[in-house]
Amino acid sequence: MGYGYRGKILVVDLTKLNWYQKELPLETLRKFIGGRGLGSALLPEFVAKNTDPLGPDNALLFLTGPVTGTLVPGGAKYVAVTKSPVSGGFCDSYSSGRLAFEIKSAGYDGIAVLGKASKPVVLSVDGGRVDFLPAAGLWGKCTFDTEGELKAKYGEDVGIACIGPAGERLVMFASINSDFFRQAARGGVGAVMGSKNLKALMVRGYSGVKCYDSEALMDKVKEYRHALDKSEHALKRMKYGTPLTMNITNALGMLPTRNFQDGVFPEAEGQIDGDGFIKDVVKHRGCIGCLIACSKIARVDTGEFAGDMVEGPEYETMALLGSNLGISDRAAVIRANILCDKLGMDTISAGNVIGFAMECYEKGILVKGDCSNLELGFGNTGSMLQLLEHIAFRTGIGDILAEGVRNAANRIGKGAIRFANHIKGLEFPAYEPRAGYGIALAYAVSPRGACHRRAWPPKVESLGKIPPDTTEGKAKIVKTMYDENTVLHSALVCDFPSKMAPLNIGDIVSFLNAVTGMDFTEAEMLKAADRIETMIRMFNTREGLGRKDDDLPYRTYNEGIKSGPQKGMHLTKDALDRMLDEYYMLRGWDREGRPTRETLQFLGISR
Amino acid sequence: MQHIHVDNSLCTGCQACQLVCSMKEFGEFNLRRSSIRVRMEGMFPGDVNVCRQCAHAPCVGVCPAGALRVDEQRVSLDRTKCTGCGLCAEECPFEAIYIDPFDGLALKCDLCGGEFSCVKYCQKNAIKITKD
Repeated sequence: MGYGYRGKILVVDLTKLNWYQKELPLETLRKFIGGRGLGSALLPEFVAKNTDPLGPDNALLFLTGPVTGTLVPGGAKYVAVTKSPVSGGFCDSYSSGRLAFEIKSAGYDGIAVLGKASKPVVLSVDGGRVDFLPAAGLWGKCTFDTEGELKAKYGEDVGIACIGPAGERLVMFASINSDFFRQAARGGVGAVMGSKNLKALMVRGYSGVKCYDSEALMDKVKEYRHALDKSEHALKRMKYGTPLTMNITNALGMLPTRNFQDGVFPEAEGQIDGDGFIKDVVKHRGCIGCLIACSKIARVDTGEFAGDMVEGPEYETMALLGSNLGISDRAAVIRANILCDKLGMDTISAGNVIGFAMECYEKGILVKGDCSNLELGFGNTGSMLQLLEHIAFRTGIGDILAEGVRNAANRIGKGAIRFANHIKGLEFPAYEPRAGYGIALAYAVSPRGACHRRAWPPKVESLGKIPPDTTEGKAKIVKTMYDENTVLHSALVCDFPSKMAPLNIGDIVSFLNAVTGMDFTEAEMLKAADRIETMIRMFNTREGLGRKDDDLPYRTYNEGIKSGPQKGMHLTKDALDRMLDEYYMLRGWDREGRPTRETLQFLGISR
Repeated sequence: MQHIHVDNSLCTGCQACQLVCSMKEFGEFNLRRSSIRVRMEGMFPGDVNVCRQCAHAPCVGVCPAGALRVDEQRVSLDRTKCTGCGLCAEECPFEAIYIDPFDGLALKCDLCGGEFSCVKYCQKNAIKITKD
């Protein structure tokens, strides 16, 4: 296996402090590609049924794909795969950075971490060496200091994934951070890392990635480079980054506002949207090998937070820690972004739990005395910033909110569950699902909980010609989008480059074949996507998840969007049921959403 | 003499130049086998460091193996003569000569014999060819 793939993963047991290499048969790679797909094949092998996600028997996998470490557009990603403490099901959370390259350079397609260290450790992989370094001096430190100190000691050229105080305290939305500002943040992967007493994973490798047909690959990259220059969409994204999305979602009435009560936030204009954001942008930033560089470095020049600098905020952060909290003060959002990064927390879920707490406060379910004496009304930037610290350190009300919106609502009671916006426990990303039935379905069927990266139906619903408020054809649209992204997330490439130029599945297949020398076909890839989604469904079925969990929360069914172009829109249970029936049928799953025997046989999955 | 000039304000830190360089020279993607490097400044990308092709290159004078020489176009390195002593890297005032972790020999930009591969793949046109 000389090209692209390394054909093995490193398996490290933190309880026994030993390690071994596990070969990956070519057949497995062919069937599951890499990234998400490889995770779907490996997680059930490593994690037995009913394993406690935060116990020593859970596994945390850091996986790459066949094109990782090359110049294939968006190829600097890794995925953290584990059993989620949030949903109790399969979790795949993506990030980018040096770590992805270094895993490959060290000679592996991935690293699986098992067991639990008796004391905090840094797991160091340096070429063929594996060391368990004591991390007592780093435990308690923020992610910036952790990464900074490790790099000062071991060199700038190491790939690092680390957790902050939130991960150490098993905050349910703790992130795993790399390159200071990139996070695998969804689904509680940072809490799983914390539960293993693993402060950081540090990897360095020396062997380069050779490609089967480098010439074809480099030509295709050059072609892509020129296509980018001609794409208006790409040029806009290069200029504004993801915050440009807020101009769109606000105009379409699907911008999360005041804990998803409303879909428009007029105060956002020129403040926290693309036009506002660009005023603070001082530099463009790209992941390794990425020609788009959608990431931006922003700096605050005046006011209370003058001097703050961050790679970000991304759209999701601007929305969830901005409009969703009734906040349009960009500098405060930037400060909140920095706090989340340092403490090691997902900005999406953090924005949800704070929005939830603010609504509970405004509606009298929580009073000042319950909330560490904070005034929690919407728009209160000081309280938002303090709450983030309370959550990460689990002090006061923060200890309850650290459990995520579903658990927090259940603990608070008094009908608070009506304000908890989540699927399978995972909080909503920044697209209002009531504004399009396709989004609602994409959220509902997502195996890790509410997710915006598996399908983006607004492309055809709100921005295209398909009516957003009908069920017809939505299952097919969502499945097609899911499958395409599953190919990308298994290859493993960022989904941005392919949305910009664009690159279709055929292009991705050409890249894959140029790198690996294999002869993947488009049809084979799409069948692999079906196989991977079904494998993940099998894992979730095994863990007791099913149709009952492919459901939407209270607000999505029972309250219309308050104002804006989508005013009054909401879903009905009946509408979701129709779409679910159709989605399951297209996937070859039964009415309860369980893969049928025929489907497993067709996809070549053995039980 | 031609050399590479980098406008660091345009650099996104993507390191595509590094990947292209190792591919051109060694036929593999390897951030550690590149003659051009993005350096970090704390948590953010700092500058791109590459050989300036000095007319009076101090590295040439210290090479005991005669592997480095200044010709009309560039300061060139003959890797077949290089012994990997590292004196050139120590002498370079710009720290723009690296040691290849694979074979221990010097790594230095020779403008890929006039091909300027990194220039061709820099999306932001931060890397340019200039003439003295």
